[in-house]
Amino acid sequence: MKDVIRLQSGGLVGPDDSFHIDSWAKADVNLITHGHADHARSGSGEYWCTEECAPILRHRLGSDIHLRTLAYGQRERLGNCWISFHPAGHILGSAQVRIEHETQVWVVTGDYKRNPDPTCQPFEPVPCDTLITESTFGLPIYHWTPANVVGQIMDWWQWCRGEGVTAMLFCYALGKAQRILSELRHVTNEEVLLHGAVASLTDIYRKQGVPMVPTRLVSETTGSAEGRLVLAPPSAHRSPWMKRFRSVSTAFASGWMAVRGIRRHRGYHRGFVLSDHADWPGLLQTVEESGASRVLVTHGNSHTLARFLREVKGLRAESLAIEFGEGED
Amino acid sequence: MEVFAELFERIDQTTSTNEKIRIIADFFRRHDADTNAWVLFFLSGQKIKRLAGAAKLRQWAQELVGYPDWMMEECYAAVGDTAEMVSLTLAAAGYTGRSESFGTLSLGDWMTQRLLPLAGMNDDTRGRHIVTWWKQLEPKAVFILNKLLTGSLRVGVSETLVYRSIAEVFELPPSVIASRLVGSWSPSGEFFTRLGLPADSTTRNDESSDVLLPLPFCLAAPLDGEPEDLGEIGAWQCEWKWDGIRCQVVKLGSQIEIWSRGEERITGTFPDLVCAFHNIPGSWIVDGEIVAGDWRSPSSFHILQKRLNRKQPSAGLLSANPVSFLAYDILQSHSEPWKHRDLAERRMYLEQLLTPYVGKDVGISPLLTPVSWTDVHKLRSMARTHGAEGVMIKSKRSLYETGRKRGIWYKWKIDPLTLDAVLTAAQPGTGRRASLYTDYTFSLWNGEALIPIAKAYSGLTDAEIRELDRWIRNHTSERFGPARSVQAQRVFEIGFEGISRSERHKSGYAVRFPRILRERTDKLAQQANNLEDLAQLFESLDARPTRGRFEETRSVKSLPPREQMSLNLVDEADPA
Repeated sequence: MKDVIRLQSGGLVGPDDSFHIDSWAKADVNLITHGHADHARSGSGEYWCTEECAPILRHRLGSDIHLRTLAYGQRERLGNCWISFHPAGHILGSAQVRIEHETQVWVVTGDYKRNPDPTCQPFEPVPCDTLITESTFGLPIYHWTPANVVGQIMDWWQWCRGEGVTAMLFCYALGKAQRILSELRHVTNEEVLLHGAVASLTDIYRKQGVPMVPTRLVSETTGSAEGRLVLAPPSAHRSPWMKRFRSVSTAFASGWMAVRGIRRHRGYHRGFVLSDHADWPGLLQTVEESGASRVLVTHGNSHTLARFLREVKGLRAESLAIEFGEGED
Repeated sequence: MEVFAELFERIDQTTSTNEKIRIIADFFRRHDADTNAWVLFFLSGQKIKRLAGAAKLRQWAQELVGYPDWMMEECYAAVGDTAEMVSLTLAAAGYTGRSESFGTLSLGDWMTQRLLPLAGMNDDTRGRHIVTWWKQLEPKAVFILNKLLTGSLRVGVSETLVYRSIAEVFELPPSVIASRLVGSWSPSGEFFTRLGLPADSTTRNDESSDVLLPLPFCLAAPLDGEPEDLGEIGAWQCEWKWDGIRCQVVKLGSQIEIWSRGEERITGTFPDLVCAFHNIPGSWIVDGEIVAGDWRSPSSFHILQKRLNRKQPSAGLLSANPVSFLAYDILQSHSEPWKHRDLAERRMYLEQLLTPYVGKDVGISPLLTPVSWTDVHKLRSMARTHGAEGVMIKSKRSLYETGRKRGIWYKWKIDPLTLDAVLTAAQPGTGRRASLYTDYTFSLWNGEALIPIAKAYSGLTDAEIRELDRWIRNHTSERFGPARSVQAQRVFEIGFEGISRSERHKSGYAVRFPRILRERTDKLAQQANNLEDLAQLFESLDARPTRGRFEETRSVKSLPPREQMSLNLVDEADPA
């Protein structure tokens, strides 16, 4: 049987080139799983995404893009396929793409996680014949404990306040920042300061009704930033922007912080293990729940997960070498 | 175990020295003397005998989780540390416990009741105990337990920081604590309590002492910038920077101990030198360097390397690989301390003491006699032909300080030898470079083929490392487990300290202390150097040196530079 989804130089492509998924080539029709920069690239003729993802995509790619939005679960005909988006639990509006072609069902997960996140709909298992899954954290060393990460962040913030320093928390500006702002509501209602890149995306989340603690732009703050919590993108670390703060304690919220060597290499004072990707048990659970007899693995440790599924789980599995970004989380 | 894991985590989370001192001092104030003694033992870098090898830990963990070998290998490559890899793998598979379930056994009790008794057990019993503990401890305590078992725990604190923490607790000068902590001691509550005795109630190297202790080493700082900034040259004493094993020889009557810079006792490794020191009468502490061969003409690095880490070398090894000692400094004589006198005065006394006994085994590091900084520049450029790796510049007024004090002693090393080589393979690093491809293999052309000449780990910034890591992942030509060969495209300028013949290396040469100086983005792979260039460089270094124009009386002839000694250079690599 012919593969419904194939890998071309520009990414994943559907039958007869009728659509691309998260393409980095200029596609006629580009289905977008979510708004992160390595998945949503400019230059395509027409974009399809979820309703929740649309404002993010317009913000990133321009308001003049040709955009078609679908509700989660809404089935649409595209070429000779039925297409639908299903919640991936990664960030607001993130989706798995289900493709039904003749007798086959394929699912492309995009990025996803199985842990709870108050800012987006939880991952929904979608039965399929062939699953294309990500494997950013595809090694049995990654395991997100239900530990109260936001409590740890709060403890650190309190400590910073005691020391009279700014608590500078780096995290991806889209998704992770808003998840933290939303989870912080359980422990505080205090205002958090934002880097500009975080603020614009936070506004988009707020407009869609995601509850978060009050926020303010760093540049609009008149008082001292000492003892305050600031969220900023990792690119701001050690940038001139940091010079405005007198003394800071830096931290990074990411799944990568689970490994001590990486924590030390990145040079942050603190590392909080908070990921928007599936951990190892989450990946295995997802493969199992999909019921897929064939699994294609992209992103990160794809060789390892594919080999494990093949040799230990007895599935047809192989690695798809897609050149995405550096496994941002 | 949990409190120690917590302490370790807190130290690990800060880069501020003062914060670390506060954390450690707080810990000591809140815990019992037994626990404190053990914590101090580990913080000051001492180790218990290895109770379980990394390979064993990995095997026991593998038996629990049931992963194939290659998966354990991949996990190790991503983590770069067996102890942590095991704790993460067990945690992800649900085999670790929660701290609350495991009572409050103190670290002292953990050590004496649980860990130390493992030494007398067979592998199976040991494994059973360890697996039981794994299942009860929380992941971060499992990590620390594993580190203690494998003897590979390294806490990011310097010795002086530990001294200062204890000094703060006991309100004593750090130097008093430092002198009480030099050498080997057993971690007991009694010992820890004794550290807090008033300053004058313990003396060092007194009659009752059966261990001859060194003084904390005084260390040189690298010279950044030009020596001209140091002012008048007459205020400075210049010597060659020898490349051997820095040590202190402590002699008390007929007793002799040799201590390495890492405060390891290396007396047993050098019985030939001990013999020679016996000929020098009196009781004294002399600082100096063990070099390969005759100090008047120090020879190849191979010899020193062969002598390292041999506790009881055979007569054959000794005669085949002779060494000698070059004295730098005198710190104590007949229980009279000299460390608080000026270097110029110490040097005069050193010569007075040793000159009658100078022979083939013991020499005094010759003073260089530059009359201007221009001369020092010239000396430095000649260092390699003298078998030295640069010039030492010490203030004549300097006291023998503890540690690396600014502004008194400088080492001005020579620029490295360089070649442009092609990146041909990489594998993930260990420790803080885990999961990034940072162990690079560089090759030179030999006709159409690229022959590996060096593995290098250092020299790139973190941002450059991440960029190269991405490039390597996307330009892999072959995978061998976690290692990858990559397309021959990128050229790097590789610096190194010396070249020697080697039969173990395919290229026929071993380069010493290779590191990356910069990427040659201006060069194509085809424009990198070839093996012939390396051979020529080797020949040029092998030429006999000329007598030093600036050198006082004792001329030092020498051969090519020698291998960097391996003491104190071990990074956190965990060879599993």
